[in-house]
Amino acid sequence: MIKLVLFYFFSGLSLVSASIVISVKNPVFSVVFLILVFFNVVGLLLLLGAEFLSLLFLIVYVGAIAVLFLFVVMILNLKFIELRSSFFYYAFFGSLIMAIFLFEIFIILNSDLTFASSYFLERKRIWVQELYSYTNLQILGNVLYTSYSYLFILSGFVLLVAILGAIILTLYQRSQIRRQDPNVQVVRNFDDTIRFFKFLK
Amino acid sequence: MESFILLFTNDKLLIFNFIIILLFIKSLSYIIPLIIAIAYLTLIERKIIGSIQKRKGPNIVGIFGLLQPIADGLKLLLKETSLPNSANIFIFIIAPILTFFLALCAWAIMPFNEINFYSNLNIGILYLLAISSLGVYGIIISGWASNSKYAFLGGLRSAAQIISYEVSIGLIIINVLLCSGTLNLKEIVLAQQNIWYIFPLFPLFLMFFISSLAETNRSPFDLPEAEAELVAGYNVEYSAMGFALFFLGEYTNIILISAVSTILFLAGWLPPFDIFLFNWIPNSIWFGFKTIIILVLFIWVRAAFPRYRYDQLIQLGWKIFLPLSLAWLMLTSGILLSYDGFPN
Repeated sequence: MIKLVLFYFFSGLSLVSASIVISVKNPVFSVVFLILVFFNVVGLLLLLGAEFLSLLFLIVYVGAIAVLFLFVVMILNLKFIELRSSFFYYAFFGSLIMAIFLFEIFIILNSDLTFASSYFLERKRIWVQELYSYTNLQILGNVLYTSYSYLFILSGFVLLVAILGAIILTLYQRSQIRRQDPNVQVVRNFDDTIRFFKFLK
Repeated sequence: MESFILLFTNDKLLIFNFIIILLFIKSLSYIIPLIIAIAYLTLIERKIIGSIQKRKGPNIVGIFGLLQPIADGLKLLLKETSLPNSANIFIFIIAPILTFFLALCAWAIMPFNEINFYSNLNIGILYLLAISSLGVYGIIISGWASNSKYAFLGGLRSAAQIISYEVSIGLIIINVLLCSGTLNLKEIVLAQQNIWYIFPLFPLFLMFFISSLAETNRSPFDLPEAEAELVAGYNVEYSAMGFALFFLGEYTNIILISAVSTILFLAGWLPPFDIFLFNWIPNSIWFGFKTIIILVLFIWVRAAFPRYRYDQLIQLGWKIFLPLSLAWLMLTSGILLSYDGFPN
């Protein structure tokens, strides 16, 4: 009973705040409501019993990504973008992307969750023990580091490419800039830098 | 506890109410000692810094100035709350409440001894990381809502600093997790029964300590409140209770992170040697003692070192601590792998 109430609470609040994200005028407020959406999704994941995933979601999305969003929005100082002029401009592409995502969700819902079958169809499993003695973390690690280790490493490489891209974007440096070089500063000594002159009268 | 009341009644509503009241009392028994600890931490900070600088420190109010924090708190309570004209009032008021609330939240999983904790979470470390990464919001939002340049710049600085040092703190914690094999704080302490992790992982302890200085905005990394450039950073516009809540949140975080480093490196409540005399002292007193040692280190560093420049701070975080902690992660896992030392 309480679980059902909580489910409706979290999902309803996440839908409401998701619609506020796109309707509110001040971009900072829309980021704040985006964070609220993330929180409600974390609540939903907790209700499912996926406590590890939910906390990871909180750390990654709310703790890192949304903070960067907020940073950018605050620094750019975007004030009150006109809503109406841009609303129909993006309508076509927006609905197209939405249709694609909906299609993907339906595909997943229709398939019979075959991605886990190799794990679950193994014989000689004591199911009672698996249910009650393993934590969320152990089960996830068991699947991730054995059956899907290649995919795991592959996703790591995808992230590496993203990091390299970000570094290359910032590598461009202008020449002729005065920079502080600690080595030069440490090497400097009294004799090299200060000289005495005799003034002739 | 539920079984205890089941002896007397079968009424479900009564049991529910009983549990709610019990939880309330339990959380009060965490919050009130915490606030008293914060009050006396400020006093001990002023005393120690005073004696380092050959002054007496506060000694007028009460014996040895023992009532000074109470007088300070009362002063902050009685002051007028001023709201800036052009501030965003709702967010402006929410921000300090959020900061203090999150700082209190993290204490829910702190084990003081083997049986004494609010909740024994299986993924305690992750919970701590999540809560501490949420703590940025109070600061960045308060800086924005004040609608003042100083507060805004202070908030941005502080947020950038906290985010960058969180990365290296996370990597250092992973080292400890590799050695102990669990995310549960209580089991991390129990894994240190043979040796405290400060001995094999001493460089990591130093790095964790420096990162935690930066994480809690303490000097020498107190850039957000650099008085010379930014007046007081993100909380310039706050007065009275708003300021007090920020202050409380900051000091709660300091005590929290010293307690966490006690648990991760100094074996929490375990006595240094397993002999009768040490076991006779209650475990939670050992825990408090070790935490106080790290707190005094925090204060000592504040009195001893000048403030870093901002680019040096960011450079230290990203160019020195991050690669070094990654390298230590490789080293630790390599040693554990080669000597078959991974815990089961």
